[in-house]
Amino acid sequence: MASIASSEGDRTLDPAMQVGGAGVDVASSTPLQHRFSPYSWNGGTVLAVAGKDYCVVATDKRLAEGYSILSRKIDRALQLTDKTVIACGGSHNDVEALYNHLKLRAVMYKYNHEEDLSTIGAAQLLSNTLYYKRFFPYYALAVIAGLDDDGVGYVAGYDAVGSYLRSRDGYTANGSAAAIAMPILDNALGKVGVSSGLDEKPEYSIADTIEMLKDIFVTVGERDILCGDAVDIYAITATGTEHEVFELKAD
Amino acid sequence: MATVSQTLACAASGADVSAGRSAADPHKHTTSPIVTGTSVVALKYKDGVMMAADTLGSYGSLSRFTDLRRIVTTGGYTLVGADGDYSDFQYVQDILKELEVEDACVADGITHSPKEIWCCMARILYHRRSKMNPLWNNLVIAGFHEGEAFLGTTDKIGTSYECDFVATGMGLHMAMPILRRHWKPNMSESEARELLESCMRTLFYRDCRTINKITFASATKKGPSVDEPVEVSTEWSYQSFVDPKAGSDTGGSW
Amino acid sequence: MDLLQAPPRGLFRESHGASATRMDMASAAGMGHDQMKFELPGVQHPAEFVSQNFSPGTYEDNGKRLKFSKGTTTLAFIFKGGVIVSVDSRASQGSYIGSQTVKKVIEINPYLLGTMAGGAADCLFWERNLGMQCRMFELRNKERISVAAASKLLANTMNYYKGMGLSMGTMITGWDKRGPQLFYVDNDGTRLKADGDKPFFCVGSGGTYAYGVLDSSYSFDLSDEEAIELGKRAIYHATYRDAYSGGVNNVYLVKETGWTHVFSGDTYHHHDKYSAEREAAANP
Repeated sequence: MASIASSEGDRTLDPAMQVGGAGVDVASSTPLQHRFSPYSWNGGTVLAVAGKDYCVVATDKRLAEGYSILSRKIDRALQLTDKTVIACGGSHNDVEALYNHLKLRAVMYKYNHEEDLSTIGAAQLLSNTLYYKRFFPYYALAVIAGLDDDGVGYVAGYDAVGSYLRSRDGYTANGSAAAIAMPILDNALGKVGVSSGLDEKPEYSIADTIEMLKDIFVTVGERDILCGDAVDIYAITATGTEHEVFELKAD
Repeated sequence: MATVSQTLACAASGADVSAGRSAADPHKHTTSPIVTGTSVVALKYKDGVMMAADTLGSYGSLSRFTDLRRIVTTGGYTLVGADGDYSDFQYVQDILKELEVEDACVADGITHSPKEIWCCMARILYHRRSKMNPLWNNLVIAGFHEGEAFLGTTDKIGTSYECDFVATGMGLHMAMPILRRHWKPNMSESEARELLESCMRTLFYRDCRTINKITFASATKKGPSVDEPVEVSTEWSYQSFVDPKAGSDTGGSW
Repeated sequence: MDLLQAPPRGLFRESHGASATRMDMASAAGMGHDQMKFELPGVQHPAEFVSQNFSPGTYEDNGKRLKFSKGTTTLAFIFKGGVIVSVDSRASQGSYIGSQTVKKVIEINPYLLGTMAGGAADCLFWERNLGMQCRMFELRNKERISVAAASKLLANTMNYYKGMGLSMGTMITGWDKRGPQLFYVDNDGTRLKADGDKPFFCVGSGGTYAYGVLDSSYSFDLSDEEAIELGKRAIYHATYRDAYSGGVNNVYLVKETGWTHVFSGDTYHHHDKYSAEREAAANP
């Protein structure tokens, strides 16, 4: 059985936790520097805004690596159920693997319970799924958007290991250009802090929200090299989810 | 499910077929490629998909093997091209063969579609990267199935996407601009061939891990086929080749 | 022979897919850790791998692309009226403020509170897990778990994963048969009980500033109002001096009847109040 050295000396972990395990004697082999990285950084910006009875999530379609654009039309969003959409920036291989897993879990849930997984349930599932890879994380910067059990817009952002929080003011940004987009959203929609000076969150119509997200992506596309080409926009309401593609500059 | 998780979390039990090495020994992981192939270029056209790659197997900077075939056919519809480590590609071919055998044993007349093979390859490469024991290849999977052309690619960490045209390795930097400039939907066979030749010619001029002995392959409604290697025409009388310094203060570069 | 039912042969003996139920919270969630299955990277030192690729940068932007949420001031103290828990709400990822509205007090059950410092995901996950273990205890023993036992469960978990790179500094507090209780538990497996003449802890990057305030003003005999005020003041001073702390101040009061959330307010408004007080003190 393999042992893994820790600061407290060698100790044995359970066998299912051994990767590359089959009897490696860690103590006697010399350290090996892997130049290989299992992660890539493919960009991807996700914005989401929740309203009283709707939710909109938007994510760009550019797949980048270094200074190269690999694809201009990939899907970064996953329609998990009729009223839940997940979208992620990060390493696209991990994002795909995560989606495959979540799709399977959503189907299993539906067959076991004879109803769709709720948005709040999906949010906790995503958190646990990410955390169970705590020691070899999915490099996926996720946003979940949908309608909660009362039909109210639900938006939450995650870090790579599953820390998540439902946005109090109903908007969030994650991924490549989150640090550029977030202050814009704060200013337009936030009532926390003093950045906007708003006492009440303004309630925009779903059409206005979509327009605002398009505007923000146009702006962000000018300042983030990883963001561009096109945006997938999912508008979630009680009657279902509508999808549109909005073209951005391809430069 | 418990067993599945164990096989995923644990290393492959027994010998790893790829190079007769044990996955248990971290020193034997492919952390750098040995015999390598360079760019693969492919595009969709009117009748299906066309792909090209040269036949050089480099051993570091040595032109070690000059007749390696890096595009293979699999199943009834699909082409698979690879750059990177050649022994890892041979392992990929073993897997493809295994898929064919499974299809044949089931004997229901159904074989894997190009998209299924692409998806399968992406999962295998992702799985190997998750074991920190990658297959050091970019794979290009092309095919023609049920009247539909397919072209997709995956890299050694499992980043995969579909596309209308693709170039791997050095081709990503030098062939992609040519493809972006000249590719259009529904090109004729001769237009497609000419465009691929143009890409391969440029790569031959500027990628020093290339030779001018190139396999072209295509997948159409007639099925996939790989041609014998050919030379593409070259033109060395350009002023910048004849007199690299002429009219330039950049030391003979662009 | 039904080939479709036959087990995979040859190279495909090895599964290339992801497993599903392994990550099932319900089946894995630890009655004990024997059932927990965390996938590790195939390198010799998994903890090093994670810290190299994903380490939270507490005091500097250490150039890692992937940062976990981190940075905090949390404090709790015992006084005659019970326990005060007071926290900020900022989550930073490097120098980027990931959120200003984090709930750093985790409501484990109506009688138990946990605080959150260090890796946000680590705290969230393991305190949720603790809540489940506490509920299992109640169902098995027909009485509530003591704060000492609850904190010990968490400390055991931390000890099990010691050296694996978990990051959390937490205070577990509540009211049990022995009265108001406060424990500190961190990722080294350290577990400390708050008692003596200074029964309080401050945890997080802003903790040192908060300690300054508590050390100078704490008394066991504070009234509830005075205690809440002290909690607010300590957090305000920490958010004023520590860039990694800020946002909203949340204060909880633990009584024999359970905890109550007694205050939530932006530290920005604290600033007006406390600077006015300072002015008044300087110019009587």
